[in-house]
Amino acid sequence: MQQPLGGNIEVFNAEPRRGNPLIGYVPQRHGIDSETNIESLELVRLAFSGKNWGVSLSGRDRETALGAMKDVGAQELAHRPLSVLSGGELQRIFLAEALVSGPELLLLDEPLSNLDLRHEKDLVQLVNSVVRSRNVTALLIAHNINPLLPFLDKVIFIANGKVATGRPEEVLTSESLTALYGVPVEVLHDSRGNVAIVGIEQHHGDE
Amino acid sequence: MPFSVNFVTDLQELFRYPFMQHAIEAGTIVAVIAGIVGYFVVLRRSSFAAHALSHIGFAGAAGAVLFAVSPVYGLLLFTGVGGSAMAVLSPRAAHRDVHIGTVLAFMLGLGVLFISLYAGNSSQTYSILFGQILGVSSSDVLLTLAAGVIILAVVVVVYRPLLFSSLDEDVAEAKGMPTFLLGIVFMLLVAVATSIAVQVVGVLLIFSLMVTPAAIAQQLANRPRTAMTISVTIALIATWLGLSIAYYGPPYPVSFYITTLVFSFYLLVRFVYRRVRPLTAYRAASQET
Repeated sequence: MQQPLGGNIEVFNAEPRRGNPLIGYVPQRHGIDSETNIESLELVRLAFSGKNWGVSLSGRDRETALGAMKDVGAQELAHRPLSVLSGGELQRIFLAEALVSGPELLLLDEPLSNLDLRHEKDLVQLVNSVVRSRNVTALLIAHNINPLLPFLDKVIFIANGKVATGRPEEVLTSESLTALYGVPVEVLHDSRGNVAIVGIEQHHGDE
Repeated sequence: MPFSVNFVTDLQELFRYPFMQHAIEAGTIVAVIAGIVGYFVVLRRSSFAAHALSHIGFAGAAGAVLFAVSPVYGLLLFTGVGGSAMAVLSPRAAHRDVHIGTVLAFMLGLGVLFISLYAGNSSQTYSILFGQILGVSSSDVLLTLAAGVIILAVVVVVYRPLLFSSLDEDVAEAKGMPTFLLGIVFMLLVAVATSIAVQVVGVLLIFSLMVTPAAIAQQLANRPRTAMTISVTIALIATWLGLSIAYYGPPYPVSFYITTLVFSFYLLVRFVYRRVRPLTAYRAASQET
């Protein structure tokens, strides 16, 4: 694990460590091969009981896994092999994989990076509904903030080595973002209350 | 006694000579072990590592022959050390090809040196390379059984962590699972399995028992236990049938029959089953709705 250059990091009032059951993690890329023919349910089951030694004798992990898959609307994918699922379907499975052990915090590392506009919207809505129904916190990392804008409770905006933290309406203003990026940025509001952030195209390293 | 229509006497006949008994016993144990360990090899995409381990084992076996020790001890030593080294040097399962290939070539070279230093006849070398299941002794069978039981016991203990870390290493690591240790355990399983499988098919043909049956099984089933059962079944059928054909039919090497049978299964599944499957999948889907 990376060590901080200064100060302390605390997660749930404790030192950060691997294997904290309060955290569910969805990595940016999974090492799962497109040739791997294994049913989705098996992955979610193993995410729940894979830490245990020995073979499983009870069917409890199966029920729990099916429950998590239902919560992300993936119950009909349970018996399909991972190799035939689309990117959007896989994201649902990975979300169930992270949720199955009942975490309080979900870490989603750029879950939108490989999705088209429609699946992007679906996934953001799904994360939003899961967060509310399961009462978990989602920390979602994204390069493009626009699809997330309707659902954000709090923003940590990192750009140019500077950080702005706060409620979306405080952080996401033309003035604060322009100051953060050092280039002109505009926050637009349309007649239906939609918000979009523009003007940052020529600049990379944003978040 | 020639092959007859009476299946029972044919089977009894197969067990008449001790060398056939030993061959069937050792072949059965090896088929079971290779079918199970092979499933993890395919799941982890470590088939190149398994292939390389057998070549490393070749150097060990040749060295053992040179020092007048049973080849299996050389195999165990070299594959054990080689497998652990592979797991330690590059802990991530993928992207190991270059390191593995480098070690593999060196070990084959070492094997050649040992062979040239060994003044005796070359039949030992031949049986290490291509297997000599008909030359298995009763003490070999006992050693094979012991190794097989140990492998099975370890697989049962590490089953779920190994399965999960093979499938999704990043998440397994984030969950605090000992992925590094599991990687070493896995390589040791492959090392021991390889060492006993060499008797049956030799270092060069190890793929046919360790990788191909499991790869076929993965095409046919998407649940690990079902796939392992199929993988073991294919390895068993190929071994038993191969021995029977060699006994009753033309006396060509058993390992030739085994590899040919396994390859036939592979072709069948690859080209015939794949064309039939879309239909059955469609039927299953339409029944559900």
